[in-house]
Amino acid sequence: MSKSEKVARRIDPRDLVLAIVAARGTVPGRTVLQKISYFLNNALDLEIGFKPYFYGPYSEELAVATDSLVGYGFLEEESLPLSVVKEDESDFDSRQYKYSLTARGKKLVEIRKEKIAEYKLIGEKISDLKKSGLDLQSASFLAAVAKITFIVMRENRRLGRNEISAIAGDLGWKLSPQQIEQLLKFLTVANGPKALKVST
Amino acid sequence: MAKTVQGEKGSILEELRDPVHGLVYLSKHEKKAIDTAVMQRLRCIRQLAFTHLAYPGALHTRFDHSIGTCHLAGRMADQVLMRGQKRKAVRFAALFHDVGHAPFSHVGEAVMRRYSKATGSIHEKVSSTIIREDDQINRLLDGDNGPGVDAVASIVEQRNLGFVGTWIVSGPVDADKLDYLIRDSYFTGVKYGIYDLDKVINEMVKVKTKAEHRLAFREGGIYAIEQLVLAKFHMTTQVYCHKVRAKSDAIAFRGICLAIDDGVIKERLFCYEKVEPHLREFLALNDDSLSRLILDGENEYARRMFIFLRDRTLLPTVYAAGVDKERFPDDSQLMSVSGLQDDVIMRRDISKIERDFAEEMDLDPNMVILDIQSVKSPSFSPPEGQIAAEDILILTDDGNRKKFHTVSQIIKGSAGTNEQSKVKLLLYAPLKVKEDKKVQEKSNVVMDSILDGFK
Repeated sequence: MSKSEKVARRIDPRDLVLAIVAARGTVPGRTVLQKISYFLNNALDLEIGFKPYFYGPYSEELAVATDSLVGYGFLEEESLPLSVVKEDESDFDSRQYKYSLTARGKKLVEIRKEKIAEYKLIGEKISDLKKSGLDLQSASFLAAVAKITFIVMRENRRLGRNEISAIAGDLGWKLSPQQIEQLLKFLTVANGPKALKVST
Repeated sequence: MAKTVQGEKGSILEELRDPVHGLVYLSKHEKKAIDTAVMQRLRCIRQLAFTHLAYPGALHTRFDHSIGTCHLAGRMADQVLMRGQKRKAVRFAALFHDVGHAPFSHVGEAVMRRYSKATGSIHEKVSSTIIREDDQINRLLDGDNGPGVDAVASIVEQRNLGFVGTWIVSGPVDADKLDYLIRDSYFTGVKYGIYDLDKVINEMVKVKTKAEHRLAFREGGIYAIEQLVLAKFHMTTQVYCHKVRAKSDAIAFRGICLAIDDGVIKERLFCYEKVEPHLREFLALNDDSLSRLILDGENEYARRMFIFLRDRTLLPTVYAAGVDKERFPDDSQLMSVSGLQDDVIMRRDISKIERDFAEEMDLDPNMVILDIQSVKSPSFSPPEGQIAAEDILILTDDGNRKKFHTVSQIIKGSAGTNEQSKVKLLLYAPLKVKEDKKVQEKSNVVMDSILDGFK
């Protein structure tokens, strides 16, 4: 095998999206999909790249994967009426989406599950997230948890609440020390650190 | 002697002529910046790599694009009333944003993606490293009233998303895109990249959100932004995904990878995690020097690839198929074949398909190249990133805040522009398919059979 045939990543981002939607039934929006993917990426070392963006860690390849699955008819993207305005930290009205598997998508998942071990692991991790209560939270709460996780993991050292808040501010994320306190308590109580590999 | 004019607070500005923007003005420090070795290197890296093989005029370089980007970043900064050191930092960040490009622009970027663990825009990461490490740049930015190395590097690194300057240099509607669309259009000779630049800039505003400041556009700019989004789409389909360009890119990519794998080029120069201690070597690479290394090197196949490019005797396209439900009615197979777009995950499968075809057709596998092209994500992602309509912010006349895709009548966001049927699978190989119909028929049969067995 030549040097350039090394495989750097464990999973096709499209399989990650399919596995998440299959495990949850529906996913209410892109932010939730991105944040759950982020948590799973950390927990399972899936090596998908995330970078800081408006609502926290964001993966462009995941966004492309989602669009591709919708385009091929495996994923349904339902656009919600504009009057349904969800939390959006930019304060700008946005279109909201809901994702679910189509009939073809469900059949495809059954086939892919047999070949790709990560589907089972992802299903188990989604159960962990449900038990921790994290899975039931709103997009803005998930985004806030993802932001803290991103900062803690990137800095890779013990951080105080004020420090996390300052780093978040530099990244354009508004997180007060009180909010951070509340989020970290949630992570600890909900056994989040074990599921998320975050040291508090 | 270059012409100078007086700028604000008595500063002297040097006048330059740019074919796209007309007269542009650089400060004394910016003029010194473009004279650094790091910037001068960009004169030898073509903006669009081998696109000149399809559009002969496409010989413009990263150098003139960087100056154009700096000029537009300055206009955008002025529009949002940015002054002083922040404005300086934004202009320098725009000027230096591409210094980390490997030779052949996006082709080099794709090679770096293969040999690096890092994801996202690798050249931006390398640019930031260069800004922090290069002595000439450090003296300029940290010296005499300079904005500071950290201020400039952090814009390129996008470390402060709450600062509008970050979005001016790298955002959904940034100075980079605003320049390259018009510039690429001008030099290729096509009109698709033309849009109302003045209107886009004039309708820019800075808005305060929960998360500090963002760049937004007044309602009057909606139509100009629609034009911009369409310009990007049309340039992508007509220029960036032109079949000759795509093929040239694939051939160059193969040649460079073969040269790296055989040690003709040091792998560390295309690996983000290893390049930092070897920046001087990396910066000695440009389009000409890399071509020379490969053409004079000992890997015969790499050499042949670059001879094809030099002489424009490109490998024939021996197979082409749409990656869609019509060709691949089995969904599992459709998923697998469309997954071949991902060179990182699917590297082994791609190599196997090439080897199987080569064996059936009695060819050397090094000379067989599988290529997947898609409008949404062309395999070598030229002008990086799409314009995400959901990320463009609009301030309506009655004071409401909306995302662009909710107010545009024609651009509904990326989900509304899905083009799965535009994904194509192509195979290039040294076969006389045009001269001999039987060879073409055999190629099709062999490749159809290989793909039918690929699940």
